[in-house]
Amino acid sequence: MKPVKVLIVDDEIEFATTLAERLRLRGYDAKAVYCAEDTFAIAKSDTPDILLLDLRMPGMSGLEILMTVREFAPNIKVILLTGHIDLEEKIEGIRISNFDYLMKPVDINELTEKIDKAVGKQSNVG
Amino acid sequence: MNLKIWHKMIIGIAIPSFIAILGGVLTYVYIKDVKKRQGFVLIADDLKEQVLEVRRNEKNFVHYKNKEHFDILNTEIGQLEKNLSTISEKTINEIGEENFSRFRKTILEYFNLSNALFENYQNESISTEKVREEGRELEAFAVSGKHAFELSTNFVLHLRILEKNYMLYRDKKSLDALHKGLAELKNLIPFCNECIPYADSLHKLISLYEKSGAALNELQGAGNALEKITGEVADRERQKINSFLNLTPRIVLAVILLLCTLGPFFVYETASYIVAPIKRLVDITKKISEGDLSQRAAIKEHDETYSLAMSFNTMLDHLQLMHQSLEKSIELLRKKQEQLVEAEKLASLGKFAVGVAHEINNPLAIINEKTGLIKDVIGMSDDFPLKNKLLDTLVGISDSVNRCRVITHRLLGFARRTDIPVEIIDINSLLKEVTGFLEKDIFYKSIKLKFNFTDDLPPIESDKIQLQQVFLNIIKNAIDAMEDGVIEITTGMKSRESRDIIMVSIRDTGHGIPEEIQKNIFEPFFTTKQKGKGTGLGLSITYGLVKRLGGNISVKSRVNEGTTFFVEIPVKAEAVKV
Ligand SMILES: Nc1ncnc2c1ncn2[C@@H]1O[C@H](COP(=O)(O)OP(=O)(O)O)[C@@H](O)[C@H]1O
Ligand SMILES: [Mg+2]
Repeated sequence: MKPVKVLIVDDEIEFATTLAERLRLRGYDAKAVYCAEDTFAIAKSDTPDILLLDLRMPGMSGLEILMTVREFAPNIKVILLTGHIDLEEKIEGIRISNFDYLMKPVDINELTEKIDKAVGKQSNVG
Repeated sequence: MNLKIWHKMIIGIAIPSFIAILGGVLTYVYIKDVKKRQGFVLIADDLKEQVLEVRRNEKNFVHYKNKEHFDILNTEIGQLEKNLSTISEKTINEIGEENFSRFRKTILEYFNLSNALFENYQNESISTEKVREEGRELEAFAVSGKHAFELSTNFVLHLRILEKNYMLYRDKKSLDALHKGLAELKNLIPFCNECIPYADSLHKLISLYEKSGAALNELQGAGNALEKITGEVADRERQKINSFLNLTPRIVLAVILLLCTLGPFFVYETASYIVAPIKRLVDITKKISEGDLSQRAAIKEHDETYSLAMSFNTMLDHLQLMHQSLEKSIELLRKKQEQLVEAEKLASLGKFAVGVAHEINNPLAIINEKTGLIKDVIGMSDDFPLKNKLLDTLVGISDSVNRCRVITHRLLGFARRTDIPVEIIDINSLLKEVTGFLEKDIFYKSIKLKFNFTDDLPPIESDKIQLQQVFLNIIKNAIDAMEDGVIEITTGMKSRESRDIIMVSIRDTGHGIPEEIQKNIFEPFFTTKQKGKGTGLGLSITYGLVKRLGGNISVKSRVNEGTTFFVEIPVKAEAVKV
């Protein structure tokens, strides 16, 4: 079975790389990017199954990135990673649909559960 | 007494005036009476004069015993009666009707007696003539000598002298002498028939004379009575006049005394009576100017000061109302200001907390991931001497990261929303929902949950998530405060009058909050719970949310008895904009 392709988008490089490594240890094909441009580049060349997106980033916000990605990858799944979720963001997120969210710091088990659920797998670890 | 001022003034002036007038009238009446009585005295004196005139004529009549003087007497009596009849009925009644009737009766009696006397006198004169005739015959007979020797001429002459003396003097002495002579004459009768007519006529004369004497006595008695009556009346009237004259100066004196004492008294009383209500008003204005707006004019009199006092009181009512509403507005302003300051404080605290939480949250996330990665790597590697110890240490780091996460997440709950999204919320079902989240804890601690809901509460327009948060924090604390016991949740309106504010109270039978820390429990990071169990953020967040919804929260608690939180929520969210 092909491993799930996960793209982590977060301007906190340390966070993104470490999380990617941990996910890779758990069998996911995880990559980390730190800005919107890289995100779009990877999303176009090697479209991931799921996007782990930080909502608060300098420049483009997480939601804007999400909408842009959705234009060329309409079926991409999304989990929002956030310090806390603002109500407007929540409402907006629901409007865009197909999203879940997790508050940072994340519990790795919780995260993998949500990823598996989002991409429609029982479990990837095993 | 309800009198107008001018009534009072009239009373004040009228009473002394009345006294003066009364005195004057009394004096006038008395003086008039005196004058009248003087008239009566005159009348009585007049009558007495006439009576005396009658008596004078009576004397003449008795002296001359003839028709001429009798007529004069009669005319005089007639005159008296005529004068009497000219006296008016009124005068008669005032002097005394009985006096007059007695007077009239006596006059009539007098008149009758005078007539009788006159008749007697006429008989007397006939009888006198007879005696003289018989005397002369007896004299002639005695002189003739044709008679017995016993009858001497001298005796007859002596007898005739006695007869004449008696006729002249008509007194007891001459009568006694005559009786003696007659007795001697009677002794001679057996010897002298011619003596009989003389003796008889003498006897008759004597009896007539005696009768006249009696009649005269009676007449004089009646005359005296007439004099007495008039005298009495005059005296009585004089006496009355005297007593009146004695009384008058006393009345005048009494009036003057009354005026001097009662007059000023009444004037003073009236003046103070008029001034009193005004003085009271003045006193009240003084008190009011000292700030006591509750003063009111006492309304006692119903004079002109009554309406003054009424409008005064109305003015005061308005003033007091204005004052009260002013104070209320000031109080309201003060409260609002306090609320604003509170909210401002809260908001800046919130901003600060959110800022800090954000800043901490990202490094925390990195620590979390790095620790996790180490754990992953070590977990996958072969056993080495300190592997387990390292893993344990890593678990300790993870736990600490988790504790920090709880804190930062709660702090981020402060994050201010630009707006309060409005949902229609039924408070009772919201509370059911919230207790539903905590079902497990309640069950494990065998806590009894009681709902004391009021059914027809108005729906609340507010933010549901925030409201949930509010009650979740409170109920969580209640559960934490006891092992078993009761949590009672009551809903209702804050007051009967208005349906603006809903009141929710959450009572528990837990360990309670000591008095001295009750003021601290709403402060952020204040907790009495063990390390790792409490963050001290629950109630501060709840407090902030309630205030932001325009509500209020308060607590009542007693150690070992329990705690009740009271939450007031306005039906319409009035956001305190900050
Ligand atoms: N129902 C209660 N009974 C007893 N104490 C309470 C109750 N609710 C709150 N407290 C006290 O108030 C403190 C502050 O509560 P809170 O702000 O929720 O923080 P935490 O629950 O994390 O301690 C608690 O530590 C406790 O001492
Ligand atoms: Mg608490």
